[in-house]
Amino acid sequence: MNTWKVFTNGLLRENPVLVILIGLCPTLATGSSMNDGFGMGIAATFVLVASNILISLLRNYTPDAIRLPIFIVIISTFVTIVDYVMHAYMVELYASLGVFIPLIVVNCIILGRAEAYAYKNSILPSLMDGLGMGAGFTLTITTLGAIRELIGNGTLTFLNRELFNISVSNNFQPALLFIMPPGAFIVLGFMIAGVRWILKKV
Amino acid sequence: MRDTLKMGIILMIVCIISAGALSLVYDTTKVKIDENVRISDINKRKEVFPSAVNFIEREIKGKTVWVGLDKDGKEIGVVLKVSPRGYGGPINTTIGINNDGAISSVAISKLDQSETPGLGVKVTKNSFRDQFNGKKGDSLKLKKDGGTIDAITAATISSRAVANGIKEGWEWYMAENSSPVLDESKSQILNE
Repeated sequence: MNTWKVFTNGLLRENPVLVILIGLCPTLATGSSMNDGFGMGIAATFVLVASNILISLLRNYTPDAIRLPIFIVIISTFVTIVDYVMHAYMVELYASLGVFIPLIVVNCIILGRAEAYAYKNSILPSLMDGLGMGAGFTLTITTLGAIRELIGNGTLTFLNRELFNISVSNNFQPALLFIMPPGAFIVLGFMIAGVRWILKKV
Repeated sequence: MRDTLKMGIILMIVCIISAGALSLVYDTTKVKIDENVRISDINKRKEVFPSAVNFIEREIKGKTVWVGLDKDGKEIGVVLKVSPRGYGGPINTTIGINNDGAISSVAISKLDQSETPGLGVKVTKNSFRDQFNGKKGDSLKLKKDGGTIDAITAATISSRAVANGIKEGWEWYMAENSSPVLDESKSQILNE
Protein backbone atom coordinates (compact mmCIF):
# COMPACT_ATOMS: atom_id res chain seq x y z
CA MET A 1 0.00 0.00 0.00
CA ASN A 2 1.44 3.37 -0.89
CA THR A 3 1.87 5.94 1.84
CA TRP A 4 -0.66 8.39 0.45
CA LYS A 5 -3.32 5.71 0.58
CA VAL A 6 -2.40 5.00 4.19
CA PHE A 7 -3.05 8.67 4.93
CA THR A 8 -6.41 8.98 3.18
CA ASN A 9 -7.54 5.70 4.72
CA GLY A 10 -7.94 7.38 8.09
CA LEU A 11 -10.06 10.21 6.71
CA LEU A 12 -13.06 8.22 5.57
CA ARG A 13 -12.68 4.51 4.76
CA GLU A 14 -11.23 3.68 8.16
CA ASN A 15 -12.20 6.82 10.04
CA PRO A 16 -11.37 5.95 13.67
CA VAL A 17 -14.54 7.39 15.17
CA LEU A 18 -17.15 6.88 12.48
CA VAL A 19 -16.06 3.52 11.04
CA ILE A 20 -13.79 1.71 13.50
CA LEU A 21 -15.78 3.23 16.39
CA ILE A 22 -12.88 3.80 18.75
CA GLY A 23 -11.98 6.94 20.72
CA LEU A 24 -15.66 7.65 21.31
CA CYS A 25 -15.24 8.84 24.88
CA PRO A 26 -13.11 11.94 24.14
CA THR A 27 -15.20 12.57 21.03
CA LEU A 28 -18.41 12.72 23.00
CA ALA A 29 -16.90 14.53 25.98
CA THR A 30 -14.97 17.32 24.30
CA GLY A 31 -16.87 17.69 21.05
CA SER A 32 -19.32 20.19 22.50
CA SER A 33 -17.98 23.14 20.51
CA MET A 34 -16.10 23.51 17.27
CA ASN A 35 -13.23 25.19 19.08
CA ASP A 36 -12.76 22.46 21.70
CA GLY A 37 -13.21 19.73 19.13
CA PHE A 38 -10.47 21.12 16.96
CA GLY A 39 -8.16 21.62 19.94
CA MET A 40 -8.65 18.06 21.11
CA GLY A 41 -8.13 16.79 17.56
CA ILE A 42 -4.84 18.61 17.09
CA ALA A 43 -3.48 17.60 20.50
CA ALA A 44 -4.44 13.95 19.90
CA THR A 45 -2.96 13.97 16.38
CA PHE A 46 0.34 15.22 17.70
CA VAL A 47 0.53 12.51 20.34
CA LEU A 48 -0.69 9.86 17.91
CA VAL A 49 1.98 10.60 15.30
CA ALA A 50 4.76 10.68 17.87
CA SER A 51 3.62 7.52 19.64
CA ASN A 52 3.26 5.67 16.31
CA ILE A 53 6.84 6.60 15.40
CA LEU A 54 8.11 5.54 18.81
CA ILE A 55 6.27 2.22 18.82
CA SER A 56 7.38 1.50 15.27
CA LEU A 57 11.01 2.20 16.23
CA LEU A 58 10.84 -0.12 19.21
CA ARG A 59 8.77 -2.85 17.56
CA ASN A 60 11.72 -5.20 17.03
CA TYR A 61 12.73 -4.98 20.68
CA THR A 62 9.26 -5.43 22.16
CA PRO A 63 8.40 -9.01 23.18
CA ASP A 64 4.98 -9.98 21.89
CA ALA A 65 3.59 -11.17 25.22
CA ILE A 66 4.12 -7.90 27.06
CA ARG A 67 3.60 -5.42 24.23
CA LEU A 68 0.44 -3.91 25.69
CA PRO A 69 1.89 -2.86 29.06
CA ILE A 70 4.92 -1.49 27.22
CA PHE A 71 2.71 0.52 24.85
CA ILE A 72 0.75 1.91 27.77
CA VAL A 73 3.89 2.95 29.67
CA ILE A 74 5.37 4.59 26.58
CA ILE A 75 2.19 6.42 25.63
CA SER A 76 1.40 7.73 29.11
CA THR A 77 5.00 8.83 29.66
CA PHE A 78 4.99 10.59 26.34
CA VAL A 79 1.68 12.34 26.97
CA THR A 80 2.87 13.57 30.36
CA ILE A 81 6.09 14.89 28.83
CA VAL A 82 4.07 16.74 26.18
CA ASP A 83 1.91 18.17 28.97
CA TYR A 84 4.91 19.50 30.94
CA VAL A 85 6.78 20.87 27.93
CA MET A 86 3.69 22.60 26.59
CA HIS A 87 2.90 24.11 29.99
CA ALA A 88 6.45 25.41 30.33
CA TYR A 89 7.23 26.72 26.87
CA MET A 90 3.93 27.20 25.04
CA VAL A 91 1.70 28.89 27.59
CA GLU A 92 -0.76 30.35 25.07
CA LEU A 93 -1.29 27.01 23.39
CA TYR A 94 -1.48 25.24 26.73
CA ALA A 95 -4.23 27.59 27.86
CA SER A 96 -6.47 26.30 25.10
CA LEU A 97 -5.26 22.68 24.70
CA GLY A 98 -4.04 21.94 28.23
CA VAL A 99 -7.35 20.59 29.47
CA PHE A 100 -7.41 17.92 26.75
CA ILE A 101 -3.95 16.48 27.24
CA PRO A 102 -4.72 14.25 30.24
CA LEU A 103 -7.69 12.91 28.26
CA ILE A 104 -5.39 11.74 25.49
CA VAL A 105 -3.77 9.14 27.74
CA VAL A 106 -7.05 7.25 27.76
CA ASN A 107 -7.77 7.86 24.08
CA CYS A 108 -8.28 4.42 22.65
CA ILE A 109 -7.21 5.48 19.15
CA ILE A 110 -3.61 5.86 20.23
CA LEU A 111 -3.30 2.42 21.79
CA GLY A 112 -5.43 1.00 18.99
CA ARG A 113 -3.17 2.29 16.23
CA ALA A 114 -0.04 1.28 18.12
CA GLU A 115 -1.36 -2.27 18.33
CA ALA A 116 -3.02 -2.53 14.91
CA TYR A 117 -0.56 -0.62 12.76
CA ALA A 118 2.65 0.83 14.17
CA TYR A 119 3.68 -2.45 15.81
CA LYS A 120 3.61 -4.20 12.42
CA ASN A 121 4.93 -1.50 10.10
CA SER A 122 8.04 0.58 9.54
CA ILE A 123 8.41 4.22 10.51
CA LEU A 124 7.20 6.09 7.42
CA PRO A 125 3.89 4.23 7.00
CA SER A 126 3.34 4.47 10.77
CA LEU A 127 3.83 8.22 10.60
CA MET A 128 1.38 8.50 7.71
CA ASP A 129 -1.10 6.30 9.54
CA GLY A 130 -0.82 8.57 12.59
CA LEU A 131 -1.35 11.67 10.46
CA GLY A 132 -4.30 10.15 8.60
CA MET A 133 -6.02 8.79 11.69
CA GLY A 134 -5.37 12.08 13.50
CA ALA A 135 -6.79 14.08 10.60
CA GLY A 136 -9.85 11.82 10.48
CA PHE A 137 -10.34 12.20 14.23
CA THR A 138 -9.89 15.98 14.08
CA LEU A 139 -12.29 16.33 11.16
CA THR A 140 -14.93 14.22 12.85
CA ILE A 141 -14.73 15.81 16.29
CA THR A 142 -14.64 19.34 14.82
CA THR A 143 -17.71 18.66 12.67
CA LEU A 144 -19.49 17.08 15.61
CA GLY A 145 -18.57 20.07 17.79
CA ALA A 146 -19.71 22.54 15.16
CA ILE A 147 -23.12 20.91 14.75
CA ARG A 148 -23.67 20.63 18.50
CA GLU A 149 -22.50 24.16 19.20
CA LEU A 150 -24.64 25.63 16.45
CA ILE A 151 -27.85 23.94 17.58
CA GLY A 152 -27.13 23.89 21.30
CA ASN A 153 -25.60 27.33 21.79
CA GLY A 154 -26.29 29.26 18.61
CA THR A 155 -22.63 30.05 18.04
CA LEU A 156 -19.58 28.79 16.18
CA THR A 157 -16.16 29.30 17.72
CA PHE A 158 -12.90 28.41 16.06
CA LEU A 159 -9.35 29.05 17.29
CA ASN A 160 -10.86 30.88 20.30
CA ARG A 161 -12.66 33.34 18.03
CA GLU A 162 -16.39 33.58 17.56
CA LEU A 163 -17.14 33.16 13.88
CA PHE A 164 -20.84 33.22 14.01
CA ASN A 165 -23.58 33.97 16.51
CA ILE A 166 -27.27 33.56 15.82
CA SER A 167 -28.36 33.86 19.43
CA VAL A 168 -28.16 37.68 19.32
CA SER A 169 -30.49 38.07 16.37
CA ASN A 170 -33.84 36.50 15.39
CA ASN A 171 -34.90 35.40 18.87
CA PHE A 172 -33.05 32.09 18.59
CA GLN A 173 -33.65 29.60 21.40
CA PRO A 174 -30.73 27.15 21.64
CA ALA A 175 -31.61 23.49 22.18
CA LEU A 176 -29.48 22.84 25.23
CA LEU A 177 -29.81 19.08 24.81
CA PHE A 178 -27.22 19.18 22.03
CA ILE A 179 -24.49 20.56 24.27
CA MET A 180 -25.16 17.81 26.78
CA PRO A 181 -24.13 14.13 26.42
CA PRO A 182 -27.40 12.89 24.83
CA GLY A 183 -26.96 15.46 22.06
CA ALA A 184 -23.51 14.05 21.35
CA PHE A 185 -24.94 10.56 20.87
CA ILE A 186 -27.73 11.79 18.61
CA VAL A 187 -25.43 13.81 16.34
CA LEU A 188 -22.80 11.06 16.29
CA GLY A 189 -25.45 8.53 15.29
CA PHE A 190 -26.47 10.64 12.31
CA MET A 191 -22.83 11.15 11.34
CA ILE A 192 -22.11 7.40 11.45
CA ALA A 193 -25.19 6.71 9.36
CA GLY A 194 -24.12 9.41 6.89
CA VAL A 195 -20.64 7.96 6.49
CA ARG A 196 -22.02 4.42 6.05
CA TRP A 197 -24.29 5.73 3.32
CA ILE A 198 -21.44 7.52 1.54
CA LEU A 199 -19.19 4.46 1.76
CA LYS A 200 -21.88 2.27 0.23
CA LYS A 201 -22.30 4.66 -2.69
CA VAL A 202 -18.60 4.92 -3.48
CA MET B 1 10.12 -19.65 34.02
CA ARG B 2 13.18 -18.11 32.41
CA ASP B 3 10.94 -16.42 29.85
CA THR B 4 8.76 -14.92 32.54
CA LEU B 5 11.81 -13.51 34.26
CA LYS B 6 13.10 -12.07 31.01
CA MET B 7 9.77 -10.38 30.30
CA GLY B 8 9.67 -8.92 33.77
CA ILE B 9 13.14 -7.51 33.39
CA ILE B 10 12.35 -5.95 29.99
CA LEU B 11 9.22 -4.36 31.37
CA MET B 12 11.17 -3.09 34.35
CA ILE B 13 13.78 -1.52 32.09
CA VAL B 14 11.08 0.20 30.04
CA CYS B 15 9.51 1.53 33.23
CA ILE B 16 12.84 2.73 34.63
CA ILE B 17 13.69 4.56 31.41
CA SER B 18 10.22 6.11 31.31
CA ALA B 19 10.35 7.19 34.95
CA GLY B 20 13.84 8.60 34.45
CA ALA B 21 12.83 10.57 31.37
CA LEU B 22 9.73 11.82 33.14
CA SER B 23 11.55 13.06 36.24
CA LEU B 24 14.17 14.74 34.07
CA VAL B 25 11.52 16.60 32.07
CA TYR B 26 9.62 17.42 35.26
CA ASP B 27 12.65 18.98 36.89
CA THR B 28 13.62 21.06 33.88
CA THR B 29 10.11 22.30 33.17
CA LYS B 30 9.11 22.88 36.81
CA VAL B 31 11.16 26.07 37.05
CA LYS B 32 9.56 27.49 33.93
CA ILE B 33 6.06 26.37 34.90
CA ASP B 34 6.37 27.99 38.34
CA GLU B 35 7.56 31.17 36.65
CA ASN B 36 4.57 31.09 34.29
CA VAL B 37 2.20 30.60 37.21
CA ARG B 38 3.82 33.53 39.03
CA ILE B 39 3.44 35.80 35.99
CA SER B 40 -0.18 34.81 35.49
CA ASP B 41 -0.84 35.48 39.20
CA ILE B 42 0.56 38.98 38.81
CA ASN B 43 -1.53 39.55 35.70
CA LYS B 44 -4.64 38.34 37.49
CA ARG B 45 -4.04 40.74 40.38
CA LYS B 46 -3.76 43.57 37.84
CA GLU B 47 -6.93 42.33 36.17
CA VAL B 48 -9.01 42.61 39.35
CA PHE B 49 -7.50 46.01 40.26
CA PRO B 50 -6.53 47.77 37.03
CA SER B 51 -5.89 51.03 38.84
CA ALA B 52 -3.36 49.53 41.27
CA VAL B 53 0.26 50.10 40.39
CA ASN B 54 1.77 47.91 43.07
CA PHE B 55 0.82 45.04 45.33
CA ILE B 56 2.28 44.13 48.70
CA GLU B 57 2.00 40.68 50.14
CA ARG B 58 0.49 40.29 53.57
CA GLU B 59 -0.19 37.26 55.76
CA ILE B 60 -3.45 37.00 57.64
CA LYS B 61 -3.74 33.89 59.77
CA GLY B 62 -1.59 31.83 57.44
CA LYS B 63 -3.35 32.99 54.32
CA THR B 64 -1.63 35.29 51.87
CA VAL B 65 -3.46 38.33 50.55
CA TRP B 66 -2.17 41.10 48.32
CA VAL B 67 -2.91 44.71 49.12
CA GLY B 68 -3.29 46.88 46.05
CA LEU B 69 -1.73 50.35 46.15
CA ASP B 70 -2.51 53.14 43.69
CA LYS B 71 0.10 55.50 42.30
CA ASP B 72 0.01 57.67 45.45
CA GLY B 73 0.71 54.63 47.60
CA LYS B 74 -2.83 54.61 48.97
CA GLU B 75 -4.50 51.27 49.68
CA ILE B 76 -7.37 50.71 47.28
CA GLY B 77 -8.29 47.16 48.17
CA VAL B 78 -7.12 43.62 48.69
CA VAL B 79 -6.73 40.57 46.45
CA LEU B 80 -7.23 37.05 47.74
CA LYS B 81 -7.42 33.61 46.23
CA VAL B 82 -9.94 30.86 46.90
CA SER B 83 -10.16 27.35 45.42
CA PRO B 84 -13.71 26.03 45.75
CA ARG B 85 -14.44 22.48 44.55
CA GLY B 86 -16.18 22.55 41.20
CA TYR B 87 -17.48 19.71 39.10
CA GLY B 88 -14.11 18.62 37.77
CA GLY B 89 -11.75 19.75 40.54
CA PRO B 90 -10.76 22.96 42.29
CA ILE B 91 -11.53 26.27 40.58
CA ASN B 92 -8.77 28.71 41.45
CA THR B 93 -10.49 32.03 41.76
CA THR B 94 -8.82 35.41 42.28
CA ILE B 95 -11.04 37.94 44.05
CA GLY B 96 -10.51 41.66 44.48
CA ILE B 97 -12.25 43.39 47.40
CA ASN B 98 -12.55 47.17 47.47
CA ASN B 99 -11.99 49.24 50.60
CA ASP B 100 -15.75 49.61 51.02
CA GLY B 101 -16.11 45.81 51.21
CA ALA B 102 -17.62 45.25 47.77
CA ILE B 103 -16.13 42.85 45.22
CA SER B 104 -14.16 44.84 42.65
CA SER B 105 -13.73 42.03 40.17
CA VAL B 106 -13.19 38.28 39.86
CA ALA B 107 -10.57 36.54 37.70
CA ILE B 108 -10.61 32.89 36.60
CA SER B 109 -8.52 31.85 33.61
CA LYS B 110 -9.00 28.67 31.62
CA LEU B 111 -5.97 27.13 33.28
CA ASP B 112 -7.42 27.71 36.74
CA GLN B 113 -10.12 25.08 36.38
CA SER B 114 -10.96 21.71 34.88
CA GLU B 115 -14.70 22.05 34.39
CA THR B 116 -16.65 20.39 31.57
CA PRO B 117 -15.78 21.89 28.17
CA GLY B 118 -18.76 23.76 26.72
CA LEU B 119 -20.61 23.91 30.04
CA GLY B 120 -18.84 24.52 33.35
CA VAL B 121 -15.92 26.10 31.57
CA LYS B 122 -18.14 29.14 31.02
CA VAL B 123 -17.39 30.29 34.58
CA THR B 124 -14.25 31.78 33.03
CA LYS B 125 -16.34 34.04 30.77
CA ASN B 126 -16.75 37.74 31.50
CA SER B 127 -20.53 37.48 31.28
CA PHE B 128 -20.51 35.23 34.35
CA ARG B 129 -17.65 36.78 36.32
CA ASP B 130 -18.75 40.40 35.87
CA GLN B 131 -21.97 39.65 37.77
CA PHE B 132 -20.00 39.72 41.02
CA ASN B 133 -18.62 43.22 40.50
CA GLY B 134 -19.72 45.70 43.15
CA LYS B 135 -21.62 43.12 45.20
CA LYS B 136 -21.24 41.96 48.79
CA GLY B 137 -22.79 39.61 51.33
CA ASP B 138 -25.75 37.41 50.43
CA SER B 139 -26.11 38.92 46.96
CA LEU B 140 -22.94 36.95 46.07
CA LYS B 141 -25.01 33.76 46.09
CA LEU B 142 -26.79 32.23 43.10
CA LYS B 143 -30.36 33.35 42.42
CA LYS B 144 -31.52 29.81 43.22
CA ASP B 145 -29.89 30.14 46.65
CA GLY B 146 -31.40 33.55 47.38
CA GLY B 147 -28.70 35.75 45.87
CA THR B 148 -28.42 37.75 42.66
CA ILE B 149 -26.04 35.71 40.49
CA ASP B 150 -27.42 34.03 37.37
CA ALA B 151 -26.10 30.47 37.17
CA ILE B 152 -24.78 29.18 33.85
CA THR B 153 -27.43 27.03 32.17
CA ALA B 154 -26.73 23.32 32.77
CA ALA B 155 -23.68 24.13 34.90
CA THR B 156 -25.20 24.85 38.29
CA ILE B 157 -22.52 22.92 40.21
CA SER B 158 -19.67 24.95 38.72
CA SER B 159 -21.58 28.22 39.09
CA ARG B 160 -22.53 27.48 42.68
CA ALA B 161 -18.96 26.46 43.54
CA VAL B 162 -17.59 29.76 42.29
CA ALA B 163 -20.32 31.86 43.92
CA ASN B 164 -20.02 30.12 47.29
CA GLY B 165 -16.21 30.21 47.09
CA ILE B 166 -16.28 33.94 46.51
CA LYS B 167 -18.76 34.46 49.31
CA GLU B 168 -16.70 32.38 51.74
CA GLY B 169 -13.52 34.25 50.82
CA TRP B 170 -15.33 37.54 51.23
CA GLU B 171 -16.78 36.54 54.62
CA TRP B 172 -13.41 35.32 55.83
CA TYR B 173 -11.73 38.56 54.86
CA MET B 174 -14.49 40.70 56.35
CA ALA B 175 -14.32 38.78 59.65
CA GLU B 176 -10.54 39.03 59.81
CA ASN B 177 -10.54 42.62 58.73
CA SER B 178 -12.69 43.76 61.63
CA SER B 179 -10.71 41.83 64.26
CA PRO B 180 -7.80 43.45 66.10
CA VAL B 181 -5.44 40.64 64.96
CA LEU B 182 -5.13 42.25 61.58
CA ASP B 183 -4.29 45.70 62.95
CA GLU B 184 -1.37 44.20 64.78
CA SER B 185 -0.02 42.43 61.72
CA LYS B 186 -0.64 45.54 59.67
CA SER B 187 1.51 47.71 61.89
CA GLN B 188 4.18 45.01 61.99
CA ILE B 189 4.46 44.95 58.25
CA LEU B 190 4.54 48.72 58.02
CA ASN B 191 7.33 48.86 60.60
CA GLU B 192 9.39 46.39 58.66
